[in-house]
Amino acid sequence: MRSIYLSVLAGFLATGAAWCHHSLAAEFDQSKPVNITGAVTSIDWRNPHAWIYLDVKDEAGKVVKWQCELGSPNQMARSGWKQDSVKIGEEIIVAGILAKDGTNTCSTRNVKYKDGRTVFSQGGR
Amino acid sequence: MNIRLVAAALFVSAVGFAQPGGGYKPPEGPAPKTPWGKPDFNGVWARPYAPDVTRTGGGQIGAGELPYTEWGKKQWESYKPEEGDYTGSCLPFGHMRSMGSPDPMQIMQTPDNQMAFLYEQNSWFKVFPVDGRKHDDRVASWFGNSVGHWEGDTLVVETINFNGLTRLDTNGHPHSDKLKLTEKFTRTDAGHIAYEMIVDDPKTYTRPWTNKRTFTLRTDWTILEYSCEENNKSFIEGRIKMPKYDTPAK
Repeated sequence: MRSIYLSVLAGFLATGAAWCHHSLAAEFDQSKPVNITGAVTSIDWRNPHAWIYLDVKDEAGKVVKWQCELGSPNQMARSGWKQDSVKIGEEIIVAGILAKDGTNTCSTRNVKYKDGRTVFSQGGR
Repeated sequence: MNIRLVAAALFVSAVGFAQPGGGYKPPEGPAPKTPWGKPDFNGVWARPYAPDVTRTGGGQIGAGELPYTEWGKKQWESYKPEEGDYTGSCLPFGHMRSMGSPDPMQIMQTPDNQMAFLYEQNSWFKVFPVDGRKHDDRVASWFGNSVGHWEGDTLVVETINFNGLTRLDTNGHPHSDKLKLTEKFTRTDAGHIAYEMIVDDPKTYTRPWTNKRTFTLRTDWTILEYSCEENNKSFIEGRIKMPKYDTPAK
């Protein structure tokens, strides 16, 4: 079931924000971690950050759009992650940090397939 | 400041990701020389991501608690990137933020004593002479004005004439336009550079302080294009704001 979970995840922040090159705090609220499960609609593989777009069902079953920032494509490629590591339509789980502006935007910390395998570990800035 | 505490807590994991991995092993052996007899720094170098110049870990020996002047402390305590983030806005990172970025840097040097630092971060670069000459007179800039000389096998780069609009790291440790930055590069072996940064800024700090890092040669990497502006959605959609520089930090 696709759903949005807002929760405080113990230890979550300790694994995040590795590929920072500018301030995370300028845009995202590090006190608001988020877990999102949804279907990939597109991946924008361009610098300075790749972005992944998701269709996510809320608790009422309504589909809402989400966008989550990844690391730079250069860094991700050097770590062996490819633009097609996830397929359009594939369900994934994104752990991230919410944007301060209240939109459905997050800075990604890791991405997993539904079977628990990790796709991307790290991202954001 | 809570944001800084969180960022500090992240530091160890952060620099860890910036280190070479994936089974790569840097070349071993003695430090090479160029055909013209100088220490050879040519190559693509992985460097520790240094979001906090005070902390130690992951290839960096930090400065510890910084000796602020009253002016410097005010700059540090009043820094609010959510009100204006120059790097997030794709303004020039400047020399220190480029040296501390998580992306690699290529070094090229020529027989006629020119050296180039090619930062992948935003595809910025710096070219400077290494022949012992003094700084010339030019307009203050984001990257400052650099000249180099040799002290034995150590390359010493001195940079002044900063515009005072940059920060020393992602966390926002400050400096002024009075900064004199001295960097020492020593090729300790075939695979590594010992890097030392000395911050001498009497307007911001009561005494000079140092930060040391280790760079690793990546023979398996090339420098890639990096456009900061192309897909900077965060800025385009208004979540990151351009700083206002009506009153530069002078």
